[in-house]
Formats: sequence, structure tokens, C-alpha cells
Amino acid sequence: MDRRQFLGTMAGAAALGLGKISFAQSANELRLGFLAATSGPAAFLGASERLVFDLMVEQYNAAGGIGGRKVVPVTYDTEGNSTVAAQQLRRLIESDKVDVVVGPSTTGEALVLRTIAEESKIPLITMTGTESIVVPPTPYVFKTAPTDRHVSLHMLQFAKEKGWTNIGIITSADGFGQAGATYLKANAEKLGMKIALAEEFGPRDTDMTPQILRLRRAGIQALMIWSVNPGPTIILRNAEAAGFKTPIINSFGVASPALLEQAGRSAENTYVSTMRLLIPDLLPASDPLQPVVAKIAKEYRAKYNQPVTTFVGNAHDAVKLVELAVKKISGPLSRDGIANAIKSGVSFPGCNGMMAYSATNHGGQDDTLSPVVMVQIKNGKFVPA
Amino acid sequence: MTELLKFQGLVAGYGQITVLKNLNLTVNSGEIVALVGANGAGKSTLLNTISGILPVRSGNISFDKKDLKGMRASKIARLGLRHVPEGRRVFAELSVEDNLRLGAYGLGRSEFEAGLDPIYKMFPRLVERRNQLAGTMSGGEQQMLAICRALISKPRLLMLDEPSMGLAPLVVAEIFRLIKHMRNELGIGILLVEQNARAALRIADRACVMSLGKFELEGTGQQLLRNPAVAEAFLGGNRPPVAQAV
Amino acid sequence: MDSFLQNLISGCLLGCIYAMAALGFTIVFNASRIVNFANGEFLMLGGVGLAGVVVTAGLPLWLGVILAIACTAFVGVLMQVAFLNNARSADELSLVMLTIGTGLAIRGAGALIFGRSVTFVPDFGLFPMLLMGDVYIVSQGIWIALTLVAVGIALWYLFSRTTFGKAMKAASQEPRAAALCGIEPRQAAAAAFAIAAGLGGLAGALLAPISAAFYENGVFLGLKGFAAAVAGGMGNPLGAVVGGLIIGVVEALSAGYVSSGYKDGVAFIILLLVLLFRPQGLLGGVSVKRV
Ligand SMILES: Nc1ncnc2c1ncn2[C@@H]1O[C@H](COP(=O)(O)OP(=O)(O)OP(=O)(O)O)[C@@H](O)[C@H]1O
Ligand SMILES: [Mg+2]
Repeated sequence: MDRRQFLGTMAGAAALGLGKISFAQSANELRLGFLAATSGPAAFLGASERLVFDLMVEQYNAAGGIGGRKVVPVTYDTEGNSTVAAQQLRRLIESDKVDVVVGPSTTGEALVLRTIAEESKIPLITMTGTESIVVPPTPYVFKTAPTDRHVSLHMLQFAKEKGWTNIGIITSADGFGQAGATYLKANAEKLGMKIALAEEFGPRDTDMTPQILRLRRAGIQALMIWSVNPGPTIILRNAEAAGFKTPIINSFGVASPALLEQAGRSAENTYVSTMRLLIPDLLPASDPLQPVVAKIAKEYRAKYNQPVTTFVGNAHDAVKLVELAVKKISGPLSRDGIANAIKSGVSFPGCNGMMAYSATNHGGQDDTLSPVVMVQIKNGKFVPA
Repeated sequence: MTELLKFQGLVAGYGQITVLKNLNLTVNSGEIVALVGANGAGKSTLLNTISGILPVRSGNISFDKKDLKGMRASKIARLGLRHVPEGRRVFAELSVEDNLRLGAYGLGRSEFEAGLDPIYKMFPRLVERRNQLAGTMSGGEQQMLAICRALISKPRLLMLDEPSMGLAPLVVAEIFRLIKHMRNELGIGILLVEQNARAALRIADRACVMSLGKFELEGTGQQLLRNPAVAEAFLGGNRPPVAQAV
Repeated sequence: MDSFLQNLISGCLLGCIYAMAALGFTIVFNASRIVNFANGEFLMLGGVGLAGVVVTAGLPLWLGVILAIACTAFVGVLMQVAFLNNARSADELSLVMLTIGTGLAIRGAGALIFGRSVTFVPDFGLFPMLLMGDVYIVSQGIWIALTLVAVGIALWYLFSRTTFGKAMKAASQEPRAAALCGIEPRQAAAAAFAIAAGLGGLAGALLAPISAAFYENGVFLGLKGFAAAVAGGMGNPLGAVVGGLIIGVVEALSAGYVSSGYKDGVAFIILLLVLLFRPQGLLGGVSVKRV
């Protein structure tokens, strides 16, 4: 903190001395901001993202920085509150004088910060999966996480390959579930599949047996669940009790080991569409992303002695994007320079897909490889399906 | 005759208003002390202060040598000082027998049952109605019940606030017989507040006339009955008791 | 037909939980004429408390349930003694506001102490799943149903057979007269809060294996319990049970046959209809005082 304040004061003095506001203070450093909720209800996302951010910054500096530029991190905890996040972003821009910001991880915060980033002309690499953040693209905002569109398409394509074309869906009656339902319906139509029955449930509902019974009567070939827990776990348990034998495919909303613990036996044989980081050690060597995912998972576990989360990939890919963009710049760093470097084309295999940023693609993932994979629960473990 | 209730320099009131101004009185076992006075004189306020519903502002008050100042109403009731409040206040949604049971709250089951017998003997009507909800009984029956609810705990001092209010003459007579019976046979000390001043003074051993929060006159019941000022103010020649206007 | 029966069972089990929440409202209302909007938070506390004790601390389930009930009951007493007893103004509206505020505080404390994660607790076990043809009752459902029956009998016994239960009733009807009988009205109110809160804790604990324990659960459980209590007739314990069961069953049937999206509105439509056509509630004799 002291150090940051000191640097901030120095920066202020330098700016005054020059008589005009300039961006980077030294040609030899990259000032890298990080904003995410590391406490509060969204900490399940931000905490591991922050850890991998710290890990990568440490690695760069140990190796002499990025292209010879020392990385100076400035991080804040937004507590998941978009008002707090907005203040912190302004502080990063005005007093911390960062060149680029990684974060935030929730849609609500990202929507607020996007406006500020565009006004202040600072590149913001969000870790959210909301497509509307980057579609249509705006000059300074990018994202790394897979979107609902990717995941819904992946779930449906998987079902189609299995020959299940008559589908039922059950989604939570909240923002996440409703977006999922919309994408599943739209993509099913594109793929020529039929959604025979679409059920909903309240995010705090305790028993979804009636919906399960309706779905059973509908004669569907597969059931897709789109919600975060506890809903999906309750549905799996209700389905098991009701002897519901239809294959069940969950969205990435439940892609965490907690599902195995909570749903236990009732999750057996069901599927989950998930980021690769859920199974870093089980990816086939033929997977082009396998080396990246396995490497970061190994390093993360070694440093922190705790399992990786799928969210690690969001921060990893964001920092990787910064690294590659900065390496493209030979002269002094500037905020515009970094944004332009990304837009002029940065491609790399990330944890969240084959990333191919360009003037028109601010979302990252290209269309050749799905950012998610299908896993099945066998004997209480996730295995590639 | 032992001294039961005693207070000196008693002051109490509501909010900014001081209602009771420096009152002194002693009530002994086996005697009836009647308290008469105009509406708003502070009679109910006095009873409420004694029974602990209202706090004592200053002065000393004791029951059976125990200091009552600052003691909670429920605790005072358990000492054997019972207050039958103005307007009966029976537990309307409970049965007659449950009302009596709660009168004996804190006593053992056997004590309650032992207390029930004499009361049912005295008031056979209560036996018939033991399972009726108290709120559905007539005014007279409710008053009897309210008194019996206090009586069943075998109190040593009973304070009755206008027991004859709103009741027919025959019922009033029955209540006064009961009051005398409690003094004569049970040896209970009784502090009786009555609008029906003539009847109250007749059975009272001693009496006070209260006006604007002070005891104006004190004496035996007979003395006050014969006092012309009292006769003028409360006995009103041969007119029927004021309270019946309610 | 089978799925109708199954929906009915589903609704009854949910209704049992609503009924226990509604009983909490009823008991407190009967003892102090207060509608305690913090009541749902007692269910929440029971759930997250059980999850904390069993899942996080690893203590045995039976001990967890006892601890969850005891702690929740303690919180209930604390709430009564600390806030309601000492409330400056005793008018009904400000007391109700106070209960809402206390509810928020309990939710915050729950999140702070037990965290914000969604936690499933293991089933209570013992009973196997009950199968009758194609219709079934899950093991935890048997626990829930039996508990409601036991709780119903215990409360009936308390309020209509014991002197203490009657004293609680009396203290709420005529607090002064009750005090003059030697009953301490504050003790009676505190006891009512303890019972209501403990019952909430029990219901929350029973629910934790079926749906997860979560610090925000109190809101919807409180609303459903309130709807059930009012629909059944505020102050009438049997009404609370009937109200809870009706809301649970109608919700399940509407999720099963109309649309799952509308089922949450159903509880409140029932509530509105009842208030419109039978303001005293389905089984109510006393009308709810207007606040
Ligand atoms: N709760 C209260 N708050 C404020 N003032 C009160 C309250 N109760 C009574 N008073 C006032 O105290 C005074 C004495 O009232 P109290 O009820 O003691 O009279 P009382 O002698 O019992 O009259 P009555 O014969 O009509 O019953 C009255 O002026 C009354 O207005
Ligand atoms: Mg009076």
C-alpha cells in the first residue's frame, strides 16, 4: 500500500513536472490493474482469479518482465459491488496510472465498468461470459470467458451427436437461467432439434418433482439443466427418486467438484458441459488446449496447494492477452497502444479456447474449437465423455 | 389482626402527571377498608400502584414487611396480595376452569384442586359452566369469576376495584355478601374501591374518601356514613348509586 | 394419476415445511400480538447452522440438529428480550418494523458466521424411500411429515393441556390481568419466541438435506409461512397447518399441471383470495387487527 502510494505520488509529481498528463511513467514497466470481488458473494469467482493473476505476475517478473518491462500490479477487491468497482476503476486510471485493467468477473460490474473504460479510453479485459459486453465490439473492452452461446451450442451439439434430438430443458427463473433458456431455444432451432418442453423453477425452490414428472411424461430423449446450485442438485435428486432415466446434461453453471459432493449418487452418469480446467489432468493429448490447461493447473496447485477452479482460466487468458499485446509494442507503452495491439490481432491457445482477438472479435474464442468440453460423472468423478 | 399493607408518602402518576399525592394507609388482615371518591380521583391508580402495574415514584410501601417498591406485578401477586382489576379482565378466550387454574398459577396442582372445591361449592353456577369460554359469560358471572380467580390463590389481601360496576342489584348484593364472607370466614384483608359508596361504607371497618389524589376524610365506615359532607357528595340522599348509570 | 399423487405428495411435504414456518408466526402472534417478520430467518438459521455444525465442523447429525434448534431458539429469545421488550414505542407498526430489521440483522449475521455458500446436508436416513407402486416418498420426506405430526401434537398439548401454555395465551389476551395472577408476561412472550424460533430451526434443519442451506433462504420461507398463517387464520395453529399444506399442494399442482413459472405467485393469489372472501382466514375466528 505504501509502495503504491509512493509510486502514485511520484507519478503525480512527474505528470506535474512535465506540465501535461501522460500515461506510462517508465518505458520499462507495465502497470497492470486487477479488479475483482475477492470477498463477498462473488468471491467464489474472484478469489482464484486473483491467485492466478498474482502467480503469473510473479512468473513474469522472475523472468525479467514482459519484453523487458517490469510488471507492476495494482489490485483491488470490488466486493462484487459495482459502485465500489467503479470508484476503484477511476482510481486505477487516475491515481495508479495503470496501462490496462484485468477484471471484473461479474456481469453487473462489467456493464458499469465498460462505460467508464470507454470514456477514459483504457483497455479493460473482463473475465465475464456475457456476450453483450463485447457484441457489438467497443474500442477498449474485451472478455475471456466462454459465453452462454458457446455452452448452449456445445450441449445441443453433443446431444445431437448422440442422436437425442427431442430435448427437454429446465432452467432457473433468474437472469442466468433465463439467458440459458433463450440460447438453448434459439440454438436448437438452428440445429434442427426440438425443445419438446421447457420448464422453469425458482432459484430458491426446494422440490422440482412436479417438473420432473412433467418432463417424464413429455417423452424427451435428453434433459438439459441450466442453473447454478442448489437447483441442479435438487433436480438430480428428484430425478433419481422419481426413477427418471433420461440422460441429463448440466450447463457450466455447476462445473465444480461441489456438484459431486452435493448431488452424490444422483449425479452418477449425468453430463456437464464445462471449461477444461475442471479436468486438467484428464484431457486427451490431442486437445490443442491440453498443454496450456495442464501447465497452469500444475503451477497453481504447486504454489497454492489447493485445487484449481474453472475460473482460473478467465484470469489466465486475460493476463496472457496482455502479455502478447504488450510484446507487440516496441516503443513506449500507452493505453491506446495496448488496445490497438489487441485489435490488430492476438491469437493464442488459452484455457477458455483458441483465442483470436481482432478488430471484430473482442470475445476471444474462435469458431473452430469449442471453449467447453463434455464430462460425465462416473463413480463419483468427472471423466471426459 | 396483623398489619398487611402499609404505605407512607406514596406518590405515583402517569408521564408528566402526578395523580397520587402523598398517601398514607394501613390495611390489616380481617378488615375491610373502603375507598370512595369521585370519578378520576385516583382510586384505580392507587390500586395499580400497590399491585406493581404502575411504578412508585416516591414513598414507602410494604406488604407483610416486605418492600414492594420496584417489585414486578407478577411477583407481588405471588406474595398473596391480589388485585381484581376494574372491568373484571377475565381471560375471555379461555374456559372458566382455565381462568381459575391461572389464578392459581405458580401453585401446585394439588393446591389448585384443593382450592377449587370450596369455590365450586360457593358458586355452583361456575361448576355448570366450567368448560364455557369466560368471555361468553354474563357480566355478573364474569365478576364472580374474576374474584374467584384471585381467591383461589388463598390471598391474604384482596383489592377489589369497583366489583359492583354495571351489575343488577341482586348480583351486587351477592357480591357484597361474598366480600363479608371473605373477611369473616377467611380472615382476608380487603381494600375495596366502590362507586356504590353507601353499600361499601356499610360493610367497611374503615374507610377513606379520596379526592384529587389525596385522602380527604378517614374514619370508620359508620363515621363516614354519618358525615354530612360525605352524604352530600356520594350518598346523594336516596338516589340510586351513580355507578349504575354505566 | 400416479403423477397426480406424486405431485400431491410433493406438495404436502413442502406444505409441512410451510406449516412449521406458519406455526412460528402463529405462536408469536398468539403470545404477543406481533407479526414476526423475522420468522423465516429462524428457518434459515436452522439450515445454515446445521450445515455449519455437520458439514463444516464434522459433528454428528443428531447433535447438529439439537444444536441448530437450541441456537435458533436462543436467538429467538434474544430477539424478544433485547429488541421487542425494550422497544421504546409499543405500537404495532413499529414493532413489526423492528421484526423486519431484526430479520435483516439475522440474515447478515448468518452470512457472516456460516458463509454464503450453498450447502447440502446429508439425509437424516433411518427410513428407506417409501414406494407404493409408482408413487414414492423420499426418506427425508418421511422425517418431515412425522415431525410435523409430532410438533402438532406437542403444541396442541402445550397450549390446551398445560398450565404454562394457557398462561402464554392469557398473557397475550390480558397482559395486566395475567401479571396480577403471577404470570410474567415477558417470560411468556420470551417462551413463545423460543418455541417459534426452535420450531423454525427444526424446520430449517429438516429442509437442509432436500434443498440446500443458504443464508438467503429466510426470505421466501418467511413469506410462504406468513401467507400460510394468514390464509389459515392468523393465531389459529390448526389453520397454520392447513394453510401451509394448501399452499404447498396448490404450488406443486400448478407446477405440475399449469406452468412452473407461475407457481410462486400461487401462494399469494391464495392469500389475496382468502383475504378478499374470508378476511379472518380459512379457520380463523378472530380477525387480524389492522396495523
Ligand atoms: N393511563 C393513564 N395515562 C394518563 N392518565 C391517566 C391514566 N389512567 C388514568 N389517568 C388519569 O389519572 C387520574 C385518576 O384516574 P383513576 O383511573 O385512578 O381514577 P378513579 O378514581 O379510578 O376513577 P373511576 O371512579 O372513574 O374509576 C385521572 O385524571 C385519569 O385521567
Ligand atoms: Mg377507577
